[in-house]
Amino acid sequence: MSDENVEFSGGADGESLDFEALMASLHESPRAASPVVSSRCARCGMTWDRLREDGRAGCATCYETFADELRAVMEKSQRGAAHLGKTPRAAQKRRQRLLLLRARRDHQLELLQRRLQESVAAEKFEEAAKLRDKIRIVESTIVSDS
Amino acid sequence: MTAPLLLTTFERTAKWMRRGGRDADIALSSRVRLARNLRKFEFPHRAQPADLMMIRHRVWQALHATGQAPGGLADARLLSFEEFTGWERQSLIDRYISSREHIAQELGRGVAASADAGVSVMVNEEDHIRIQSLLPGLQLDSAFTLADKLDDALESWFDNRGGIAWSEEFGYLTACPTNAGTGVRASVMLHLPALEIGGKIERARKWAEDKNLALRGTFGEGSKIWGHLHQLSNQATLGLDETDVLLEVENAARELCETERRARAALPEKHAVETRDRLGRAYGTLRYARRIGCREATDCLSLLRLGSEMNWVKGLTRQRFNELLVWIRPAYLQVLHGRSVPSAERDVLRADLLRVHVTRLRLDTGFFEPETRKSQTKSTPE
Repeated sequence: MSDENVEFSGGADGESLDFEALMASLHESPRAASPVVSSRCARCGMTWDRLREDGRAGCATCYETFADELRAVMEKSQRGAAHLGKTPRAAQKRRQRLLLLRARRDHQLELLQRRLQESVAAEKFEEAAKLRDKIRIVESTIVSDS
Repeated sequence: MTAPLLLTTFERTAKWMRRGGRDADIALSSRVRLARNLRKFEFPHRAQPADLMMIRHRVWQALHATGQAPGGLADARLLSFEEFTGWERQSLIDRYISSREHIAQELGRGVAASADAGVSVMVNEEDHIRIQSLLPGLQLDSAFTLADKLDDALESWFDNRGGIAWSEEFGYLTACPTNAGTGVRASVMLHLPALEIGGKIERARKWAEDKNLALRGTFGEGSKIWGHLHQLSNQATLGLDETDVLLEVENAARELCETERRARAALPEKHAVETRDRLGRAYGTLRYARRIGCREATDCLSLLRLGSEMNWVKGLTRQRFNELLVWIRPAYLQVLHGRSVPSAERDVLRADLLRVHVTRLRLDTGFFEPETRKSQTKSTPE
């Protein structure tokens, strides 16, 4: 979840910062750590209060925006908060590709690390420095779901 | 323009009314529903009119494109609600392929179904897509397989077109978080007159609740009980997979069938006079009434069905009982006659329709003996 989804009070809607509401939200909300009165779904503008009252989310993104709150509710009302069962084929493919990419990156890192050790042992420091830079680049490669 | 469009659109005898499935003496039908949404659009209750129209257009396209694919809906009838009158839409509820909330608005809403309504798709009900399959008797597995195959076909079409709303954590994302996860609702329509007569229905409801299942009214959530028909369905959709959902509902349904069967077997002894009285009255009403409301007719039919299962009454098949259950519905009657019929006239048409069939029934001798208590011979159900 990114911070873009969280709208601080006094923002676009012109709500004033209500200290009491803030304190209340600190006690209620599972996201008590952030000083947020009401977060909004960046895509459809749904708020958690409205979602809870209505019992319906506004769009698929609501599930990301309110993931923490929903998780808490699901744990109580459902059989658990983790999905078991059918996966759409597209998601399945994506997941497989991801695993493959991660495996390949790890393998590459392993090779580079070994070469680094070898070159250090052989006192080839110039090559070692190059390898170290390369390792940094590969390590920082983000292999994520998006 | 009030041509009887729907009459020619679907077969009068739906798939679920025919023979098939287990425990058909009590379990009338099995239904599996899958809730799906398109990632790119807001859920129906928040979507703009143009989006709703677009979603329906896409679903029609998808159904058309996948018609010949495995699991596709080859003979799909596509009904856009704007093209139909209120009572025609209402008749879709009578056929169990739409819902009250669904037909309340027409814009961008619609239903697609095979001619026998065995597999259907509700568009822009609570979710963008709700795939449903409805089969006779208890056979949730087969019902799920049908729905699942259509789901696969539609999903692969939508894969390159924005995809289905799904997340690793919450599974299939639905408008109502209570459906998220598998998006599966499995339900069985159970005929439980003996449990009702014996006053045990509340206990059954509690028992189901303890199993995290719901035993609801005839038309689902919040509805009343008509004709001793109860819907058993799962509550949880997240944290367990499809197989578990189906197993839990199926096992509970079988247990309830067993309980009902025992209660039926005990009726001649425990509630002899009451049962004879109620069945006899139901027969008399349907045999001789000239005007009858839907509620009363449904309850009477239900009792005669019970009598038929107990071998006290003979002459009508299970299929005919199933058919009559739907054919006497107010909206369906109007579809049958191809015009809007005022309520009073409907009551006459309903009584006429039922009389034709009930005339064929034969009652056993127990109904004619002075002492009902002595007629315990033909009491056990098959």
